[in-house]
Amino acid sequence: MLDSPDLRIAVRRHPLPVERDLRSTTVPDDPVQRRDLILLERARDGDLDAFNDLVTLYQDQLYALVVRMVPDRDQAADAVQEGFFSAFRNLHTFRGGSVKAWLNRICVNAAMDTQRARRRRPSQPYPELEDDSWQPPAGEDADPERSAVLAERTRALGAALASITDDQRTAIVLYDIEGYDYAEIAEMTGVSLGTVKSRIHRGRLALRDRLEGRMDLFRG
Amino acid sequence: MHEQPNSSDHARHDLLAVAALADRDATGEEAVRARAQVDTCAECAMLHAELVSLATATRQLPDIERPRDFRLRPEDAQRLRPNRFRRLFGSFGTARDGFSRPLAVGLTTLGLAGLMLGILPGTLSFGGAASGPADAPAAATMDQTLDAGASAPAAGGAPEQAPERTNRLEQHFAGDQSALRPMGIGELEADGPAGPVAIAGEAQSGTGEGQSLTSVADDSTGASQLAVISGTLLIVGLSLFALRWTSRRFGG
Repeated sequence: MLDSPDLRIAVRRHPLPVERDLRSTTVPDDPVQRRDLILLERARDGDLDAFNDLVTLYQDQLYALVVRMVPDRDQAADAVQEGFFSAFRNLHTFRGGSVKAWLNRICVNAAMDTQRARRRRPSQPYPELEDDSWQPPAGEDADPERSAVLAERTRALGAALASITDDQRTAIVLYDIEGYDYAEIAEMTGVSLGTVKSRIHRGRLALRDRLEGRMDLFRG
Repeated sequence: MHEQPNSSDHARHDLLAVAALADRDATGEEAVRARAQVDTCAECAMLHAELVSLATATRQLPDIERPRDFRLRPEDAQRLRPNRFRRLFGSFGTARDGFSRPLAVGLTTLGLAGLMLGILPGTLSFGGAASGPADAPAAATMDQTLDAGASAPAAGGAPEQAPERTNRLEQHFAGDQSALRPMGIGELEADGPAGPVAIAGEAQSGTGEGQSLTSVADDSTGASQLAVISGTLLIVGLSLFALRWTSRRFGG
């Protein structure tokens, strides 16, 4: 009975007056989702620490997503911050489901807004996205030559990704890195399924053009 | 059946189909064509392999470390919490608000249409150069009247009324107040800025001197009322649009 997915309860710390909109949430089986929902409900009640717990849980993953869409560290950080601001402002609009997916969607929108703002202003191309934080896996069997190739491959692919169009990059990042399917990407970006497919396929061909002469890094 | 691809005409091959095949997204005819290209064209086969490698490498891209902490400070939270404006207009202009946009469109359309109806006929009636065909006979009649009045002494055989009317008109323009006294009520209504038009109407109809002017005055009043109401509707409609935009932009 309690495990029934249809069972709807209000996940709240304190009982609320009856006249208030309870906006009850389906209790998920997934403990991570349940935890997220509890934090979100507490944040709705004005608990800033609960909201900041959600930020702590997802900020790494969201920054990693947004910085691939907006390959400028500062702009990406601003977009993520704006995404969290927007999430806080719109806590009351959450209608159930996955909190992570909801935050992803908000940050993807913030990143797309940043891309649009950048397109409106004549500006330089994105700076090369150096990732000093990434280090090849260390271990006894770590091959220095292979590690160097991996690092070079990451750098070349990052630069190529930064050089294709925003739309193509967004579609590829959401599909390959985040693992969304075509329909989810279409809904997120507000375009048709065919457009999403076209952007991914054309984006891959564009990547391959940009990396012509360096494809040996990606073989084997 | 498809024509068997030839390695020599790689430039004409459908590379998007190969890309779709690399993503396992090609279906039906496209999949058959792409598979045939990859099987028979060495360059297409290499492209396919490279696209698969690229997709794999993209999936394996490492995460990039964030440069700062994104947790909200209490002052951020204070600033972002819904204030009175956000509570009032929180859902205004959002996808959940299905009311304000049709209302704004309706009011703006009504306002524009009303303004056009209220202003255009007025412009056509009173504007000199912009006079429409409906006003042309009246203007022509007045011109004829004035001409007749001016040429009457010379011609000698002009109708008796023409010089009298012309004199009256001259007296009006000259500001001779005593000339108004013998005039009837209907004639008095002809006084004012629309006097010449009324006289023209009188000359045209031959009866009921004041009626045409009264109808012009009524039309004018009605048109101005319509213009005021339409202007108000237009302003309210445009304000609704502005409110929706403001709410979407700043309301969160």
